[in-house]
Parts: sequence; structure tokens; C-alpha cells
Amino acid sequence: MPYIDVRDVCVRHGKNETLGEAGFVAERGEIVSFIGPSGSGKTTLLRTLIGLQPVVRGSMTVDGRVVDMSAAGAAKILRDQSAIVFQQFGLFGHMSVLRNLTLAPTVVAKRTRTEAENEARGLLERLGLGDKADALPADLSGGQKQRVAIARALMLRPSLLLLDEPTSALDPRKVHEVSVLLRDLARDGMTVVQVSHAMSVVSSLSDRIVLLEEGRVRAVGKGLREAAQEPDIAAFMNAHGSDPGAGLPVGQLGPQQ
Amino acid sequence: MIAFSHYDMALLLHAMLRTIVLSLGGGCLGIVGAVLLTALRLSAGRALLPLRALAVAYVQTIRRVPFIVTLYILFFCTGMAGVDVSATGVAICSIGLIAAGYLCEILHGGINTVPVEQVEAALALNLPTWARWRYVIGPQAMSAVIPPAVGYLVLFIKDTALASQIGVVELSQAGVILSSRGLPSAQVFCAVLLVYFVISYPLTCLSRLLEKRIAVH
Repeated sequence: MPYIDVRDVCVRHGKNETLGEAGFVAERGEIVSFIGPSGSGKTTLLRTLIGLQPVVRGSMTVDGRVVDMSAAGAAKILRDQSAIVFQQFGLFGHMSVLRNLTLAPTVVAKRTRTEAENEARGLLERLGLGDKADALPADLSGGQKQRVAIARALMLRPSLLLLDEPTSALDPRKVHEVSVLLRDLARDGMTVVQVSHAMSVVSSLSDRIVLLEEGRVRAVGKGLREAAQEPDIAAFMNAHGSDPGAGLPVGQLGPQQ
Repeated sequence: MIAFSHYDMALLLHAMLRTIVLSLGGGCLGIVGAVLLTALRLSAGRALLPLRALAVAYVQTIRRVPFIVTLYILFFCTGMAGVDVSATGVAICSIGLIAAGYLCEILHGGINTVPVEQVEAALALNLPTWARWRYVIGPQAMSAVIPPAVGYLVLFIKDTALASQIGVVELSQAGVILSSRGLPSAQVFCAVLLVYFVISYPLTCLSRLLEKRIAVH
């Protein structure tokens, strides 16, 4: 039984079906990448996983626990196990970086402020932002904001980390650092689901690739070798600047392979 | 320099207190009304749609009606209905009704300045409703709300002068009474001006203090 099993997710905007019968599975510690053309429903699917997008129907099983995603109260359950990094970061502009990181752990998880601050400083140090704890988000570059957003999500110690374009604001060196971090997290047992248009990141990180088109899952490839043999995935990735059969600078083919 | 008699000073003091009561009473009523109206405007779900529409209609209408008209309507309607309420009570209610409309618009606008992605981030972090308002939406909205709201309340302290039209002896009316008693009008109204300043200036100071406190975390 897979660690995460998302089934039959259906989202409608008016009469338009944005997502139809979308789903995927992931093992614990896998990195799953959603790829697909703009408007294919990647971000919508990601948002449903944390209860930010109302669904008509759909279910999500995490570690054997089934959640009816359309039920009242489902959002809280989904958010108890997941954290998300938005493409626009969503950092609280009036709070210091440190307070951005410690707010949820102290208010929601009831950790002490000292404990949360120590953990936050450690995370910031790990992400190369040790000197930015007291800065306001407005004083940070795009890449720094993105890493703060990742650190804030990690403070919740989620089982499932959702990332919307996690490397879009980073230079190649930082892309590598964040990729290493994500791989480390996955190795420690955290399942990561990312939406990315950066095919180099997708090919270097992913244990599983899900191609979405017009709100439906068109193809799934487990590990790059299998993904490379999926004609639709290979065609999409080739068309967007990456050879799925190319080398793997960061990750392996997956923890289970 | 004129010398106010004991009775003149008493009248001026009494009128000043009346102006403060009108401003504070109307302002407080307006703030409570504005919070309720804003809560309705921000509510979700079909069940509250009629109330939501009513709140929007109220805000859009009341802001287009001159204060004096609201004052007369309330004054004559309560009179015709036989409701026993003092002229000061009618004036406070009128100020409250209009202030609720204006302050609701300011409050609603301030809340809308908080970026949607921050509200979604707060939701995704599983912050409960009170925490989202206390830590994320409130402080950022308030820094956009306080300056125009205080500016508007100061404006309303001045508009309480219109309450004299239904017989309330507030500060401006006291000035008229004193000058009709033969005291030099220019100096009487300079004294009135000074008192208006003394009443409204602390509000501006409070606004600055609040802005600073909200900005510090």
C-alpha cells in the first residue's frame, strides 16, 4: 500500500472542470514532480492537497489514514500533515524572518518560543540565511525569500512537503543547494511533491514524474528510466529543454530503486 | 483680551463636554457598526447573501447622504414615532450611523490590502481564525486603516457642530450664544477653535502611537 494515495480529485470552476479524476501515489521519502503545460492543473492539484482548493470529490490516504477531501473539516486534517511553499512565497511582510518561522510552531504546535527560535536559527543557518533572522522579507532577494519560505514550511515537520516552483527564483548554485536539501529531507523520510517547469530540476530530483494535461493525469513515470520510456513524458521534457534520460547530478533514481 | 465670566466658562466647558460626548458616543457606535458591517461584507456562503447585500447597500447609501439630512430624518422619525430620545441621543445615533458606513469602507479597504497569498499561507500553516486575524491580517490591515480612520474621526468632531441644528448646545453653538451675549465674536470663536484643537489633537497623537505599536513585533 503506497504511503500517499490521492484518488479521483475533481475540481470545478463554474461549469469548467479544472481537474478531473486526478490522482497519484507516492512512497514515503519520494520526490514527486508534477509537470505539464501551463493551465494543466498542476498548481490546482497541489493546492487541493493542503485544502486550499475546494474539491467536488477526491480522497487522499496518508500512511493508511483516509481523508475525504470534499468533507467539512478535511482542510485541517490535510494541513496537519502537510506544508506548502508558494510560488509567491506568502511570507508575512510585517514580521521578521525569525518570527515568520516561529509563528506556526508556537501558536499551532505549542512549542516554546525558545525551542522554536533555536530550531529556526539552525534551519536558517543550513540554508545560508543565518544572518537574516532579524531581517524583514522586503529586505531579502527573491532567492532568499524562497529559502525562508522553505524553512518556514520545514518548521512544521510535515510528512508531506508541497512546493510550487521551488527553484524559480534561485540562481544555479542555490538551485543545487535547495536540491540537495530536498534530497536530504526525502532521505529522512519526508515525501516531497513539487510543481516545476525547470526540467533540469525535475530530471535531477524526481523519483516519480506525473504529467498533467487539461486537468487529467496523462502519464506517470516512476524513476527517470521509466519516465524516459513514457513517450508523453519524454516528449514533454524534451520539448521543454531536458533529456529525461540524462544524468542525475543530485538524486538517485529513487530510494526504493 | 476678553475676560470670560464664571457662567461663560461653565457654558463653554459644558459645551466642550457635550462635543466630546457626541464625538466619543458617535465614534464608538460607528466603530461597532463598522466592525459588524465589515464582518457581514467579508462573510461567505449563500445563507448570508441577503445580509451581505444589505450591508453593501447601506454603506453605499449612507456615505452619499449629508450628515444634516441623516440628523433631520432621525430627529423627525423618532419624534413622529413617539420615541422618547433626547436631541443629544439623536445626534449620537446619527453620527454613529454615518461613521459606521465610512469606517466600514476604510476597514474593508484596509483588510483587502493584505496580500491574498499571505492569508493563504496563514491558512496553510493551520493558524486558527483568531491567530490569522491577531498575527497576520490585523496588524497589516490596521496600519492601512488607522491613519484614514483617525482622519475621518477628527473630521467628525468638527461635524458635531451640525447637532446644534436640532437644539444640541455643543461647542459651536456655545460660541454663538456667547457672542450673542455681547462678547467679542472673533475672540469667542478663537477660544472655540482652541477647544476643538485640544479635543482632536490627542486623537492624532493616539494614531501615531498605535501605528508605531502595530509596526513593532
